[in-house]
Amino acid sequence: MSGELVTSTKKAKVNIMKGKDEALQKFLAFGVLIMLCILFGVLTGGSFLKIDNLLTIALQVTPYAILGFGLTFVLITGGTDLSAGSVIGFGGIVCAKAVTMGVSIPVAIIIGILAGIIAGLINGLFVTKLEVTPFIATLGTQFAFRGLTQLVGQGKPVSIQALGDEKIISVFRFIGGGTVFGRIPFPTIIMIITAIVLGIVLSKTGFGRRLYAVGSNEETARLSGINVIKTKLTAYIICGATASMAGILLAARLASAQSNAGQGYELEGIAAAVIGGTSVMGGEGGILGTVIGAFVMGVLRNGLNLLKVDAFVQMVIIGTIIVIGVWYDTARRKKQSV
Amino acid sequence: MTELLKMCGISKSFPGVQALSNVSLTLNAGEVHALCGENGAGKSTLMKILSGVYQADEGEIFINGEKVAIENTKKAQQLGISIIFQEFNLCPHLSVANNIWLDRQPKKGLFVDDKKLIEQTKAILDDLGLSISPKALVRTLSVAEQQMVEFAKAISFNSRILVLDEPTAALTESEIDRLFNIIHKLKAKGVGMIYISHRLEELARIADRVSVIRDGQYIGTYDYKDVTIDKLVSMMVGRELNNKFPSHKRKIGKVLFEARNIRSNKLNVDNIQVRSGEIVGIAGLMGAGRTELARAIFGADKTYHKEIFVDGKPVNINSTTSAIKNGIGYITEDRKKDGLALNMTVERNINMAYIPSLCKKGFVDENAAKENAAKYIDSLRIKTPSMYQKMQNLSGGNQQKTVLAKWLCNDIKVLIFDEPTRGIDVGAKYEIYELMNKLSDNGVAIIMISSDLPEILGMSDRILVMHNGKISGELNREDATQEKILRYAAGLSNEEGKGA
Repeated sequence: MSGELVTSTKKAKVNIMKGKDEALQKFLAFGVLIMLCILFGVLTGGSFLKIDNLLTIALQVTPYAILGFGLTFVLITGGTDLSAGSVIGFGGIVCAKAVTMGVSIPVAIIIGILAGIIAGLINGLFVTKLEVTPFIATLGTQFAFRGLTQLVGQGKPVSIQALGDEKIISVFRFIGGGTVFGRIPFPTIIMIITAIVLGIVLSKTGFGRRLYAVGSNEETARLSGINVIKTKLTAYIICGATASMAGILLAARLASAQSNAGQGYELEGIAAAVIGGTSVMGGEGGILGTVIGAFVMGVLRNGLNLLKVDAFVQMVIIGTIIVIGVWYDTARRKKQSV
Repeated sequence: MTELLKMCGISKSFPGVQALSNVSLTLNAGEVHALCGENGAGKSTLMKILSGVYQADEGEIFINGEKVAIENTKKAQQLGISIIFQEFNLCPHLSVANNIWLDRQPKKGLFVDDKKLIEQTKAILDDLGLSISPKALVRTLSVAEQQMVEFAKAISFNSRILVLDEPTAALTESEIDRLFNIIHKLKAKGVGMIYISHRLEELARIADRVSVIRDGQYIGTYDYKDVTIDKLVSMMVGRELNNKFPSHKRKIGKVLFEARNIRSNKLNVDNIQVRSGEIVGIAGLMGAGRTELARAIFGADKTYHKEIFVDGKPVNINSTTSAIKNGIGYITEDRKKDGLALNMTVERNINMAYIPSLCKKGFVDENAAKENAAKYIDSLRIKTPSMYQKMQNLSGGNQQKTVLAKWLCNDIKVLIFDEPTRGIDVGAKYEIYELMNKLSDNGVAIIMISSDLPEILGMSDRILVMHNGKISGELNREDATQEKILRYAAGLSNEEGKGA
């Protein structure tokens, strides 16, 4: 009996202590998000807060967020994936090409995602088997995958529109920008489902535990019997898959895959993850944080647009916010390690 | 003879440890003064005080009869003190000349005067009789040559006091001869050298005097010709064993673990057997290959060849995962470096090697994880406010218990402890020893690597001593003494009348 008592008091304490720090980080990012919304709401005289505008933001944020989820996995391992933007282009154009070649839509989508998975596998092999620094490995593949994208499209967009098949075009337009329940964008639904699935993978599975362990201390993880190579490979594959998903959604919205689609998106995705509390040093992070981070970026961009802030000034503001986010993360860690 | 250096009554304590108490040391010009003591006796602390890395709590330092305060390493350099560490402080991608004159290169206006730089480097190298090119990149040099560059660098500072920390550890016989030649040259120039080495047999060739410290205490200074290796060893270890180890009756069973023919570029081990319930201690000096042996057994490092048997059955261990599957666990030497993930929670650390058993179809049973962590926090008395506390906030002893918990939850038959009590206080040490005894009661075969000789003697049923990647001796609990272990560890035999 006394044993039970001990456990129950322990449990109570446990709940208080549980992830105090991470909670604070998420709370902070979420607080920033709410404050930005209120700020823009006031400054725009309420037009920012209109449901339609908020749904537009949700649609705009979707590809960055989905990409950010995959990047979160890679960042947790302590790695990075600079090729993710190119994989957006690659996945999108492979899918579109498949459709123009007469492949059915579901199969084409699977082929597109497979293209991203293979790209992720290649990145992962460079990083694990060949032990190339992630930054360099994926910088190289950033060029390579962009080149492949251009090759598939022969330098031009691959247009589904040009097929002239109204049925296919309408299906794609729905996937890329259609609405369900009246006004909720379909891609946003996809984003939410992906977030839930990947969030569960990260927090509830053995793989998730291994991933954090590898990112926290790779050698400790290895000496605890964790297959570090397999764990890291899986992270890069997930990143490739989410990138190609984002690419397919982008291509679907226009019913045309641009060969330069996704350029620079990897940095947006990394920024979203970092603002949401994922550490570039590895070992820490989560999907919910990345969702919030992506929305912080999206809200900023949309709000500043509504306020007619010059596009170049916007870049300065967003850049500053990213640096502050990383600085905060570093300072927090430093304080912890003292 | 002129006295170059006098260190008087030096004391230094760190939280919980008196590293040095009232230690004295003198060094004459043109002398090689050997400094002897076990691992952890305080030799390197004393040298770090001399080089300004640490400040002494008490005591005085005189150089050429003048009292000095060595506040930092720069000051030590100005006073003509140079230390040549085991690990060299050279920039591998720079040339020999640039390394020696790093940040002090002769200038012509804004630019480095390359001609002069090469000239003055050549002068020093010639002086030492070295045939190294001043333009050679350091990374292209052998270990011995790099060490010579360190010497040249020390000379370039006009150092009169040179500390050599295990200078022969990485050298071959002929390279050692060359090193000793250089030492003789420096002696002739009036440089005083403090020489730290575990290879007692080589001291006879160069040492003029020898000082012994033990557990931070100054034992004495002798002319080298007046001491024998036997006397030196007994002075180094002469501490009495008190009741630091829990008494225990072992129930030793059948052979549970066997390793045969472990070969790698650092290991050449023919056979090790450990019985169930037995604790086999592995002693040896740093670099003897003890950790390498543990990592080879555990599948953490590659070997050319090895045969491992658990419970009489041959097992194939090609990764840490397969080692754990076959019931082998490894508690590493440095828990912060590779034993724990410090920024993760206690719970995650305890369960790190246990994930496969916690998973049902890939999903972690969080309740089982919690229960498992709570069970070990309780039974090992790990002091933590919660299982979700970050590892880094726990004390060393509690961190070590967490590492232990990580292995206990798996069905471990063979457990390797590498320096199980390094850096933890006496009370926690006792608890760790008790846990080891409890494990042996449960029939676990234990291999314990330790540099702490009393620990080896107090805990082991059998002791293997390693030297140069080989098992150089085996001792039963009854026959083992610190002297015998040290002789085997130094590569000497334990037959009477040899090596003195």
